[in-house]
Amino acid sequence: MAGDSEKPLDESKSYMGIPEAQFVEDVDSFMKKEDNANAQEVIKRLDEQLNKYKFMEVHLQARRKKLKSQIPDIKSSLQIVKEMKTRKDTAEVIETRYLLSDQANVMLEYGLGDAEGLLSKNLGNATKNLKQVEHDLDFLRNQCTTTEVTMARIYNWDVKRRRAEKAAAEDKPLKGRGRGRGREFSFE
Amino acid sequence: MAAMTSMARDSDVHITYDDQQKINRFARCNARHGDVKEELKFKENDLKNLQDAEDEMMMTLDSDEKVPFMVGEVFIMKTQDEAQEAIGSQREGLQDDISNLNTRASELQDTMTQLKGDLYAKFGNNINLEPEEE
Repeated sequence: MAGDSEKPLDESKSYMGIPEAQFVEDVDSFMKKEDNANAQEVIKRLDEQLNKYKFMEVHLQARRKKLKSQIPDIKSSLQIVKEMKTRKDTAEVIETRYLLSDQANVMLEYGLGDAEGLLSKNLGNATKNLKQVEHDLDFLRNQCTTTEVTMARIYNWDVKRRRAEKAAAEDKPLKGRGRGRGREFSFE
Repeated sequence: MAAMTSMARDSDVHITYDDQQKINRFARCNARHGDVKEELKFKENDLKNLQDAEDEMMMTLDSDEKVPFMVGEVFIMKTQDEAQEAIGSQREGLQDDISNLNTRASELQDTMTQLKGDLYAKFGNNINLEPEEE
């Protein structure tokens, strides 16, 4: 799942290829576009996009949690192997083969050197994957925030537009009316 | 824990791409800050557990009795001196982690304070960057 490239990605890209949320520079001209005739529709579309981002966020959080717990496990396994190695050198009577559980819960037997190599490799991979997952989580958060702010801006734009329309229809000046309260979007 | 950040009320305030980046960064720092706080809680609990283990060992064991010391998923029998030493090095590691996390937390806090200043200066009441409730 994670890309193989060694060099770290910049902020505007994600390892998993998560699409970037579009930033709206100017709401007026954005809403003039053909697909955006209805503000409600646009908000709904953005909300769906937001839910997709949130779904991916839950997935990545779970992955992050798993990796975060895996890393100390691998480290302590490495510690055991090292401990066994030193005991082996001091000629203490100790079983020098090591049982190592792989991810499928199958126990495989390794020599000490192999076990150490494998564990080191696993540690390297887990650390790299964690970095990528954390990068993508940051990326996702940006997309969520951008989407939420855009939704709020379009909502406010629409409230203002409707108020102006109503005022025009009633031929009353806009001043003196209560200011409508915009909807508030919140995020973590 | 969750911070409330909201954009509301007035669509007359123009949000530039740069502003959006600042808002994003704020939200990200805020989330990170929460993670760091959470991790600190765990580490401090680990530290307490180490202390408990040490106390327990001294109180309940005879001096020549070996202790099962958990390494990963297995227990390795250690003499009390060895166990003591292992606890000591784990404690040092944890204390390092904790001080690193504290540094990180205050760095994040600084960044957020700065971003907050910028954003409030531009948007005033139209943006809310305050934590909801602790």
